[in-house]
Amino acid sequence: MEPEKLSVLCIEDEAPICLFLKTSLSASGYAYLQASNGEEGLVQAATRNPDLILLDLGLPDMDGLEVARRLREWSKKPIIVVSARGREADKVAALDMGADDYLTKPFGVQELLARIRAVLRRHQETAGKTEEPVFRHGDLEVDLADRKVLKAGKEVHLTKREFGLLTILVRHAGKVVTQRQLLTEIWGEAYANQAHYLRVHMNNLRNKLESLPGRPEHFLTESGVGYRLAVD
Amino acid sequence: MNTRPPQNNHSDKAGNLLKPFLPAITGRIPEKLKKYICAFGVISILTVPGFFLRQVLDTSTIAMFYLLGVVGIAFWWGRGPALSASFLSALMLDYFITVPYFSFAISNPQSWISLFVMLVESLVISALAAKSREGETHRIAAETEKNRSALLSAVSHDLRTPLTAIEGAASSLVADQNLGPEERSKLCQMIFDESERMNRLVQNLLDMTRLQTEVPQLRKEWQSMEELVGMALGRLKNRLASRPFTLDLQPGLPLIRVDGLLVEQLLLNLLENALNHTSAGTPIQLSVKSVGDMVELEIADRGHGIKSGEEKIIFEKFTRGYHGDKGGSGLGLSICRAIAQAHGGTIGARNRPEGGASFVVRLPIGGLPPAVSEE
Repeated sequence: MEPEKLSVLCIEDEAPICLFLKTSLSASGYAYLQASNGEEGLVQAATRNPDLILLDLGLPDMDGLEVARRLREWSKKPIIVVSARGREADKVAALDMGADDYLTKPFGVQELLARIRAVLRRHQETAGKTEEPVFRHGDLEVDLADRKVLKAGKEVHLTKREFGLLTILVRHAGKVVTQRQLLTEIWGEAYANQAHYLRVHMNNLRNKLESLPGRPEHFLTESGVGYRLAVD
Repeated sequence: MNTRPPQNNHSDKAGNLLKPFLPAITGRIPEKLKKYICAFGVISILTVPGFFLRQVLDTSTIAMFYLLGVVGIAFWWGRGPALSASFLSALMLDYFITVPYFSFAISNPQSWISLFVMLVESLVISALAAKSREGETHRIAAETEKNRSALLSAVSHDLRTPLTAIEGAASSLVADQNLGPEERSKLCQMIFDESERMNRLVQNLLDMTRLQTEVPQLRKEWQSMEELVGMALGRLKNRLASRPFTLDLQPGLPLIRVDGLLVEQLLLNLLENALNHTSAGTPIQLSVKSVGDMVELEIADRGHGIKSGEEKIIFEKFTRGYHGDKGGSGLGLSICRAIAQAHGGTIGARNRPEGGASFVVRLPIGGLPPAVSEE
């Protein structure tokens, strides 16, 4: 018997974007569900129980952030928000509200599918399946249990803070982690707005673990939002 | 585009002046009424020193103070409030300052003259001041309008180019069943490239909007130049892949206080400018170093360089200097200049002695970077 398809609910009001999403998601083996406004989206999310929700923040009837907030009141299903460039504050607000990741309009199909895969994988891992013991990407190898970091097979010594940052990023590999989340987890609540701490320590991490720190392959910066550890 | 009507500039300032004094009511009162209340407030306040100094100073000297108040009101809040203020000051002068006090009667005929002359003067002045203010407003409005139409026509042209390519490619994909797989994939690639180009144009336009307001809205934070460079290069990964590219980052660059999104856009525009105007396969070089209290970025290529004498013009809006235009929007470089200037920095272009063009941007570090402990 064919395994049941994972379903994606797209809450989006623009017909051409819906068509693009429907075509590419169906072609990649997902079941496509659609809602063209916030109210309908909330109803569909409750009745159809999708595996993932793609939520446009610019909806005709209600604020997308409000939809995210109401979804999070009862659902733990992954949410990816979609918004325009320059609306970083909205993205951060959505992520802080419990959205799992975001896409900036316009986006391509590779980006869309990569986000969906990463978010679904993280979700399944936290839902019971064990985390992979060792993270690998390119020449980077991180063994969290053994606190061991290898670059091109050679062990690299990290400071406590650097290892802390790396741990959070590995736990969320492929997903964006907000500046606030990293700052509060590593330095504490009082540092939530001290983004320059991150900039300095991320530079140090890149200098130690990237082959070309100025053209990073692993530690990607998400303008005005946070950081993302690249996955294959 | 700058959508804020220029007519509001002065009244905004007036509103700001008011806020600390009338915090409770400014929110609920219509803008127009506020101006009148302010004007009356100014005249009432001027009456206080006048009242206490009425025995020391001439009535005509005190009238001068009222006149000054009316000029200010005319300048900030326009004709209506100034005219009402003129009449109010005449009444105030009559009631509080001239003998007998606390009466509209006047005993000294000279005071009548002072009063009358002051009223006429302040009426004339308020009319003149308001008129010059309106003239200025009209001039700004006309200039904004001119800029706006130039921008609109350039934008329409620049949007139409990629749109034509997209429509052409898409229509042949739809209509022509005989296309081979290779041709199809070429057309698809073209649609993809051209839509990316449109996206960049729109981003530049949005940045332009942000920079063209009276006070550019910068979101300054202590940023890492290495990181901003990394983001720009990441976004151009595919296009840069076919180029010999050298990145020269001075070790230990200080943090710099800038608007991250804008500086990333500046880097993107300069890199794309180099990619667009030089032949495939020729090298591009980006170097970043700190010079005194500035950070200097240089993007150098080995193309045909800049026509002599056009080193400045290329930063003007909608010019396509630079030899052989290949799909520049005519906006990219002017936005680079606007971004540099908004940060108090500079941008310049020159031809390299070894051939090719070099663009140099200097941005102030913006103070003493905050200390960050390594642990």
